[in-house]
Amino acid sequence: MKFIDVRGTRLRLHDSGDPAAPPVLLLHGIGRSLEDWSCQHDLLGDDHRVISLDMPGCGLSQRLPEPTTLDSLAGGVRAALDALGETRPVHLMGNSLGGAVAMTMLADTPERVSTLTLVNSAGFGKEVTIALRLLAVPGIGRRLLTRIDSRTAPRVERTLFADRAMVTPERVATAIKIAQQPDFVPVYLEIAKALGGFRGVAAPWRTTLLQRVAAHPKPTMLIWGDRDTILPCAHLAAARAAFPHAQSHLFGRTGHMPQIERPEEFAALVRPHLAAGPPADLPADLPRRSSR
Amino acid sequence: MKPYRFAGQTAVLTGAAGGIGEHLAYGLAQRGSDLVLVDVDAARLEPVAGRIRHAHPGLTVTTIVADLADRSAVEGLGTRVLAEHPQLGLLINNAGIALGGRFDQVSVEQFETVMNVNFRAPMLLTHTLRPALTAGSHLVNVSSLFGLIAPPGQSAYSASKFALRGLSECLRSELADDGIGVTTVHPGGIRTRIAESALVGVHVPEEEIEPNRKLFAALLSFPADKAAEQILRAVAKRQARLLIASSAKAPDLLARLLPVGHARIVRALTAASGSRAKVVQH
Repeated sequence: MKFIDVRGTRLRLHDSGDPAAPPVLLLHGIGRSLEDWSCQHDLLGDDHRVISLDMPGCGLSQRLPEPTTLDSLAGGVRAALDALGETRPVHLMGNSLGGAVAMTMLADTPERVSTLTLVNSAGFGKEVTIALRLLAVPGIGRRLLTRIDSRTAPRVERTLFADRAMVTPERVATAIKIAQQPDFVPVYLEIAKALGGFRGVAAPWRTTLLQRVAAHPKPTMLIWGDRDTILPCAHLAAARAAFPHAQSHLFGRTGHMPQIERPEEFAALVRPHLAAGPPADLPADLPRRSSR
Repeated sequence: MKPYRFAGQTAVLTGAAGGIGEHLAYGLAQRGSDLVLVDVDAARLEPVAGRIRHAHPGLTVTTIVADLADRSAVEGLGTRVLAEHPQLGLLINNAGIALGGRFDQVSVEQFETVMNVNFRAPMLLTHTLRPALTAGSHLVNVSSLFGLIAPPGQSAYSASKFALRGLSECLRSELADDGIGVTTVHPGGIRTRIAESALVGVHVPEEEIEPNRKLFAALLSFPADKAAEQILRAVAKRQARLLIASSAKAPDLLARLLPVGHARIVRALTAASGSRAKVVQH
């Protein structure tokens, strides 16, 4: 774990594995931190340079001066890669909000992306947990976010996993520590506002983003957990429609973060995808639905 | 009963190489089910499995080539699947064959083949795999519109599909005690290869074979992928009975409104479409 200075903003990142090996960049979800990817550092590190970071204003990273949006997050992450001297195309992997940031990076700079892996990603439907929709209600959002403590944090963590045993004291402690950072509440609210409102995840940015990424097909893996209570696994069908060439996998008895809840299976699934991507002679998608 | 959850469970599917079965296989894979795909047609089954393995590298897809008309093949299939999968989420008895010709135009042997594939095989397979179905599992039997009505020229097919429906409806009640769901499916005219691959009664005159096949094929208009989607949705909801396409729903309604009289209407319609086909032929 180290901190680097990116355009005057201090970002925390985790850079492991062989620096000469193909780089993998791991992006976390809203209100989360690079800890969400710690298992995958170990599992993918043998033959990759594995980089995760606290996106600007998240985790223990400082915020950017401008309001936080998908574009500002993608720009901040890209600047972090530059600061690390990592200018090769990266294997992009994003969970939840991190998936939307990954898609934004792909749309902006396709030449810097070798493969795309979306894990319970935002961007494929308006349905989202009531807890996030409530953030848009004036007065309520701030109050909810400032009350993350030893009593409420375990409850929040439990919504993220199918298996309650995943809610360890360490995870709860990390969540509380992150929630106490000065930029946590304002950045959380800015992102929530940028992406949607009380009625759910807004459609315009999703539509535009999916149209933009469609112009740059990359080997893509779509992953979901069937017990996700934050972004429902029904969104996987929409994701497959948006990425008709993608491979996909739906984990059983798994919540919002398969990379934590099914670490070994997750690594085994993405490893060949990172190594090769789908062979060019075979279309990855199954026959399309008839129009009737 | 809780909704059926496909992800992380194993599904056994017969008749997976084409038609509704092929699309059931794709739909199950998209929902995260590991698959045991069974068909008699190895050449068509392997590409289906290959497409799924490629699109869903995280799934385990096993193919088994077996002729469901053969009693010992079905028993061997059941025993093998049970040994490899002591716990199953879903069993879909989908495979079926058709037989063209009036009762006096088909041989007893042909009649029995239809019964063996369409009824004995699902009965045997369900019986063998019953221990692998536990609370939360689900069973699907694909009967037919001709498991609801019995038009002329469909003696063996209707007999087999009525039998499967009877078994399936009985199991619905019996298995409910153990928390296992059962769905009986009655597809109408679904666009599949069933007409092409139908057996033809040994005494059906040569000149009637092609027109009959064409007539049969023309009635198959509902897309197979939509039918498969409806079946998987019915499984998730643990629905007892599913009619697919208006070509199943309208005759079903007619048969329930006119338990006896509907037969005359069906016969008249069959005769009319038969003569129309002959006109087209000339």
